[in-house]
Amino acid sequence: MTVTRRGFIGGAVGAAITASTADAGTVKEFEGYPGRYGLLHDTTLCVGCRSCEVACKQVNGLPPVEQPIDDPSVFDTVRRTTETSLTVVNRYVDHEDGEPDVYRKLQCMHCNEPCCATVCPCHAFEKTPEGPVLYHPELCMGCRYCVMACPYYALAYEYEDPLTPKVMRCTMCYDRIKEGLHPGCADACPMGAITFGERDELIRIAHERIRKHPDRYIDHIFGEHEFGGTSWMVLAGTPFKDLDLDEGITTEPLPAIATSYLGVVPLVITLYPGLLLGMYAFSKRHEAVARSEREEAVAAAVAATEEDAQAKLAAAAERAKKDKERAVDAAVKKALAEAQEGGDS
Amino acid sequence: MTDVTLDAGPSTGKTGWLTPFNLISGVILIGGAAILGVRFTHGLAATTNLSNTYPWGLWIGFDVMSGVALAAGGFVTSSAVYLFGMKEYKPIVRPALLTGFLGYFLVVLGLLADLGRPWRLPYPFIRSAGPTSPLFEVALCVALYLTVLFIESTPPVFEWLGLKWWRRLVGSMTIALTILGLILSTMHQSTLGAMFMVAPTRLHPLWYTSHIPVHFFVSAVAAGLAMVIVEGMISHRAFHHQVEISRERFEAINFGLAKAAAVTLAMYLAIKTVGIALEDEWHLLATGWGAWFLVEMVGFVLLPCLLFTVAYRERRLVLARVAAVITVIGIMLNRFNVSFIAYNWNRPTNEIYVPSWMEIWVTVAFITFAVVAFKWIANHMPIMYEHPDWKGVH
Amino acid sequence: MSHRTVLNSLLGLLVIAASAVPAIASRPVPVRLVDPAVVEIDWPAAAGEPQRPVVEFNHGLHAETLKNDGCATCHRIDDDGFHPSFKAAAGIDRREPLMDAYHDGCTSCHLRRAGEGLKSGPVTCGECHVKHDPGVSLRVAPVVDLSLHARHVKAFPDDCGRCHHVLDKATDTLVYRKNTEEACRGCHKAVAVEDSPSLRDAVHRECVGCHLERAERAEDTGPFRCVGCHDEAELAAVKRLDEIPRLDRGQSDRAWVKGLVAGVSMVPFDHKLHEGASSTCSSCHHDRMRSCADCHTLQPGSDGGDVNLQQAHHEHGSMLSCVGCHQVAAGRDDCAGCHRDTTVAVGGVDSCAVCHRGPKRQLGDVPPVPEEEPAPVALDELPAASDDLPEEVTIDLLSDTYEASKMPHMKIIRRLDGGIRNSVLASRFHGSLDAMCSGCHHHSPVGQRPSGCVSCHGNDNAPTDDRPSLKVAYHRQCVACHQRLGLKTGCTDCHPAKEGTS
Repeated sequence: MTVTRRGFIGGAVGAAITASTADAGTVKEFEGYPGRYGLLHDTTLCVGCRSCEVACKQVNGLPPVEQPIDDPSVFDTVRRTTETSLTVVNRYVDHEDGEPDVYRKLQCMHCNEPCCATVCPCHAFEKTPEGPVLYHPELCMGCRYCVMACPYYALAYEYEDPLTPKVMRCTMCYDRIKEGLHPGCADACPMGAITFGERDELIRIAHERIRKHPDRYIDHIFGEHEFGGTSWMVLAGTPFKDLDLDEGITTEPLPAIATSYLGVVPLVITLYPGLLLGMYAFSKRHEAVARSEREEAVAAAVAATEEDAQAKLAAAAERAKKDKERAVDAAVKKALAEAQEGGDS
Repeated sequence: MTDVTLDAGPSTGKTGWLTPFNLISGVILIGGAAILGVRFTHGLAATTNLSNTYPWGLWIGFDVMSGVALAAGGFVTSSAVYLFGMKEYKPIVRPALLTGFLGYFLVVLGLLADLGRPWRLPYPFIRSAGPTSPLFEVALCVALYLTVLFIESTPPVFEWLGLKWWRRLVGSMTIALTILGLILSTMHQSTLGAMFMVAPTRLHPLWYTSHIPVHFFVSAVAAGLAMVIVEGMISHRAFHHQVEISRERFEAINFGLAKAAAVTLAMYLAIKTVGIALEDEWHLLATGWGAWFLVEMVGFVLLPCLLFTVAYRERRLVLARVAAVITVIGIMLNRFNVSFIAYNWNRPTNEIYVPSWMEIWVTVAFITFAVVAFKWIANHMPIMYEHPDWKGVH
Repeated sequence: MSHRTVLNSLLGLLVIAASAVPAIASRPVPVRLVDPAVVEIDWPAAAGEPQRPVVEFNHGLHAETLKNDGCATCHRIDDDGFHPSFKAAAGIDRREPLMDAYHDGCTSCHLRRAGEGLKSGPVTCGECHVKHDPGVSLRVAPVVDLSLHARHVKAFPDDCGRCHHVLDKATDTLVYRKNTEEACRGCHKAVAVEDSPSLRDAVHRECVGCHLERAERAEDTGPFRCVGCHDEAELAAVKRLDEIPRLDRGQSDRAWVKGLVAGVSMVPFDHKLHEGASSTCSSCHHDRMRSCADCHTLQPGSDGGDVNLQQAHHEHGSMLSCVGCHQVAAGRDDCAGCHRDTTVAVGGVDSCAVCHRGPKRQLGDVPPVPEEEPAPVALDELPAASDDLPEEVTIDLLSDTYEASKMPHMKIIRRLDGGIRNSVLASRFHGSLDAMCSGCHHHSPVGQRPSGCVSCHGNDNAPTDDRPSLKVAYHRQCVACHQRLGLKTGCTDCHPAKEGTS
């Protein structure tokens, strides 16, 4: 398993803590692997011919397109990628007048800081130094957190497969890139709406196009900084939100947002035991104090009762003594009186 | 719905097991097993309405997320009794712990049904760990907490089996286990909420805040308390013969729980309001989603909070039970909102997710399984009462 | 439930409900559209800060209601003519008197009419001084274009002084001086300056006043209701002349554009031709009816508004410059196939000579412009198809999924040629076939037989942004043009699919 940038972001239970926290400071300065590739999608050139869809299916061995290429009714609905269509082209602006319609190709954006990689509990995603984000199906347990997290709705899952379902997404033709070829869609596009090259070079090219044709483009390269930047970048002449992009997307990388809370975990693990033991001790002490107070009260009550009893006993003894004395006196008197009477007769 | 063979001790089986309860639950369980069979032979597509836009549905929204929240009664009551010294709640600790254990077991069952390859559930721990993932942390904590709950559930077993040495052993671990349980619960209850922080563009701003973890934890506490009341409501009637404590004592416990639930719900409402104020989202309350949010907040948080307060002040048990049921539904509603209702709120309406009848049946089957297990355990082991050999012992 | 609990519960619910108030109050408000006939009553700065919201006065409604009473009800009409300001408030700019003027003038009438049982207006403060959400006025400004001007000239032949005047400072009177006529806004600006009233006042006084007078005499007249000039729909319905006679201001038919530096080839500017291509004189003479070089000098200066002479003539993207306007004209449908990016010049430095074809400028005397009208551009006939100019070109270098494409080469050329001959501007710039060919056969020396695309767009693996790969070059060149022209852009429209492929 190659060590990737993802491994540097830490904050969880167990071994990850020791591996990560020492290097956490370098994440902020990491600009990305130099020479990594990207693709530039110029929507002002896209005419919706869908050659990219056909090529992608051929390269990846997927079933052919369902709607034929020359049937424009496919654009009546806005589609998304599926487990058999790793890329689709949508028409976003349908000009009634002579202005050309606006199309855009959707696929995995191969983000610089992919949130799918961050949220995968099995570490099944890998951001390669060449640029593409790879998925390793042999590690995946199918929780679909990545499908849930993707802000570009790019991932799909093989729900039809009962035992070996995989996440399906554009791979940026990683194998072809390693051989020095271009991704299938880039080669297939007849209008050159997809340009493949080093990401830094593509940004330069994009700025140059904007400079040369300021009327044609909006002065913004989508994907240059959005959510930390993406490998697929988009140029457009219509506002990006009309192309189903840029809805609340900021420049802060998603992994940072997603894992920010995990920093609390070590605090909970380390502070809670002391805190809770303290509470336990307090409650025990409370009980002990209550018990001793109770005992004191009982003892006091007992003592008081005893004192009372003693007093009563003493009084009774006194009375008894007095009674006895009186009885003795009476008996003596009687005896004397009897003795006197006996003496007289 | 009492069982005629109900008494303290092993069932005699004399009147047979063909009772209405057993029949209905049997049908549900067999049907659930059959549907799971279809799931594993024909895939999730054949049994669920999950889609690529809605990868998480009822099995995650209810079985995992609501299940974990509603099983929170275990750590709440055990902490109250063992850590904070509220000994008067001791009689409900065991039922609450059992509810908790079965609840978390239900979570695991739900996961096994929902995962694409459930036999790979241990992969994050044994093959390839993704420690940056909130789900990894949840999985680890839930696995550990299930173990803790399991151990905490063994005392009645050992008492039943007469294994005194084992019983003393686990009894000595109570404080440590309770502390561990509270730690683990704090982490995974809140991280379940933190899981959604990765999708700021997909979850509606009224539900998405950077404080989701805190919201989830506080609501879980409230859910746990409410669930204990609900469970007590059912158990008290079903296991009436076993219960030793007096009616007054039982009611006093419930009112104490109601008071705690009222305070917790009030706190929850407060932090939700502060959350809206911080993000300046007042104007969102005037939208359709805002109205739905207010339904959740007013109808299922504010209302039970008020009802709990009244129940406690006026000593009316019925109100407390009504409030508890509303709270339980409210927690489920909140988890559903976060996982598939207010999630993808900005997608076109033709893409929304509605659970299929098979998903609902399987969920009901899981719940039935937990109820049946609870019933059997409570009938055979000292859950509702104290074993005479161990009366008054920790 | 005890009373106290009920009260507490209600209080709680009230708090929740109250929190919805700011939510509801901060809902976005739809934009308020304001009728063109509604004006805001002026409050001069000298009168100080207004204490109440500005009054929106529906002039159209009042004019309609009081049409039988006549405009003199509110406006002064005397020997000087029609005065557009409210007569009761005219000339007052101090707070108290102005306030009284309006209040007396307006509410007294409203009260009177109400007393007579007629439809009347507000009398209390808040009914006039209404605090409105910001609104967007639907009022559009009318333009006196050459057609409308010609209709006025037809109505008043040889009577330019009727509308056009200058202020003679010596006698302090308005006089007419021939061949110095300007558009009103040349002197009349948005606010009154010294002796010159604001554009609004001047125009209403002259135009509306005249229209009113003629209306009273039941003569053919123009609009005097607000909406007659300020409503988009009514403006669109104004009658237009098909043949607009040339406006005569003593201007020359042709002039040299000399530049300011010796050595530059002068431009023989056909002013008469360009008059026919614009709807108003202001299209080029945007401020005053003067020559560009009068204000725009070699360096940017205050008169020229930071635009120097070279920019004034050549600035891309500005309709006021020669090159800019030509580029926009080249962007129309017939031409947009090649000229689809109107910020980029097609043709490069070769096209300079199309305009700069006069003698080199000498400082000092400038030769007079030629007397004769320039000959119309004579374009050569299109040659017939030949080997060098094929009827059809088969593009099969990349044939793989699709069959070879049979491009109808001559058909395209004939169509483009037709479009060029239709336009004087295009004919000038595409004087020879070569200029048209270079639209597709770009970046190559123009000769007998242009090189094929593959000569430069090799099917290499490392295309640059300026020189795409062959497949992209083919498609961008063709499809982009087809898109602009509204032609078919489907894959199989140009090359049928091969058998056995999808």
